[in-house]
Amino acid sequence: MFTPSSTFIIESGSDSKIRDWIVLGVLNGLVVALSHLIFSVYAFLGPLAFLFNVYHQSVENLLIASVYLLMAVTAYNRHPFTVNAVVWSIIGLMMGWWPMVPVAIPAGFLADIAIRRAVPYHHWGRLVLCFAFYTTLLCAASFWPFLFLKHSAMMQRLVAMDPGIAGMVDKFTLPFFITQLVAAFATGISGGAMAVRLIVRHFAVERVRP
Amino acid sequence: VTIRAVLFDIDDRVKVWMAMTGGAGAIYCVDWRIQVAILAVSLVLCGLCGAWRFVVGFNLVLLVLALVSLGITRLSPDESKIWGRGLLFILLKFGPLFTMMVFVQTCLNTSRFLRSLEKLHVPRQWVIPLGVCLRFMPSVVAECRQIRFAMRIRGIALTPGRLIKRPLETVGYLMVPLLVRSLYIGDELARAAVARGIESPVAKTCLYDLRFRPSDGIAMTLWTLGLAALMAWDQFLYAWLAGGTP
Repeated sequence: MFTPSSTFIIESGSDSKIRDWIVLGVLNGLVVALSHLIFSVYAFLGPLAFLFNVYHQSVENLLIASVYLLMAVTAYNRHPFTVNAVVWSIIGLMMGWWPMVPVAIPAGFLADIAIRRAVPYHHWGRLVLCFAFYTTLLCAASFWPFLFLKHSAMMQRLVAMDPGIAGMVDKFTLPFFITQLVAAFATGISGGAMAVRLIVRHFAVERVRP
Repeated sequence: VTIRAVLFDIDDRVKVWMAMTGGAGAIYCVDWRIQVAILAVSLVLCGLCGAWRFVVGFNLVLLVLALVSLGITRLSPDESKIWGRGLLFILLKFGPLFTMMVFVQTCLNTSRFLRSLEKLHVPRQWVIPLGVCLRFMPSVVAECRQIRFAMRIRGIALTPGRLIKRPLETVGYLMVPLLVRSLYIGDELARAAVARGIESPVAKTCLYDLRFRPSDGIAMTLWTLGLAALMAWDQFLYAWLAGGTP
């Protein structure tokens, strides 16, 4: 009789790290695909699409926070948010958008340190706070270079070649950036709270007694 | 030998390099003609790879925005003209980022790309989730469609009004089956991967030839030189049109 030596095959659902990495991969695939799906819906909103594009992280926080939090709950000791940040960074790099890397990955790493202590003891408030912190920085990771735009050589050239657009960038960059971060944090808290309710109601989460 | 076959045959590291530099180049350049040129090149690449539906859709959006822009510029007073151009500017500026991602997604061989990453000693804890993520992404739409179909059978409509009135319940209807299904798929994939020896510590052989060939070097050099020429031309146009120093 064939008896596999792997503990994972015998005890399905054990704490095998390979299983955790693969589940993280599946959930990351879900996050990226749903994010792009939401993005494609904006095309039907006409001129409002621009606003929704700018506040995309907030929309994502409200609708798919449960996927992020399930990652944290199922594999809290496998750096779920760092892995998520790496996936987003690689997708960003494929588009030539390198600025995601230096902000998103450290943010994911910091959030992971906190959730390692929050999830096993069912400190859901702390988990939601970590999620809000992470998604706020994920939002900042995508847009922070715009803050330095008006001092850049590119902007100097743009001012010379197209003063109208340059003025618009100069006027709206900072207000948009601040409201983006505030909205991302607020929706991170509310979306995270909804997601926790959903997870607690529908999934059995093992608790470690302190 | 078709152009499509040649594009698919290029080393995956070169394709990722093309996407990275194409997007970055589009952001760097400020002259609209250069931006249009980069966008056109990236759209042609997408078309050659077989993503024709995307190319047609993108061109339609561009056309509509150009018409809106023209309309606003002609009809509105001076101070609001900029809004019309602003929309087109955003699409021209960031369009190449999106189109190059579509190009990479269309012609990237995931297995070869992941083996290349392993060869570059990227940690397994990043390579395995990334590989699963890239392979699972295309099937998410099918999963969502099945869930929507099941919801329709039960008489539950996924409408914006319902989402605003009962957010938790509506999100739950869609997300809970999707999450449960994802966890099942994760478990199944993990079993299959373990049965195929993913845990084995020995160095694995690869079906693909991962060597960097001279043709890859030529493709990479041509792309980089072409992009550098466009960026230099952008600087030249700035100096010529605006009287600045390049």
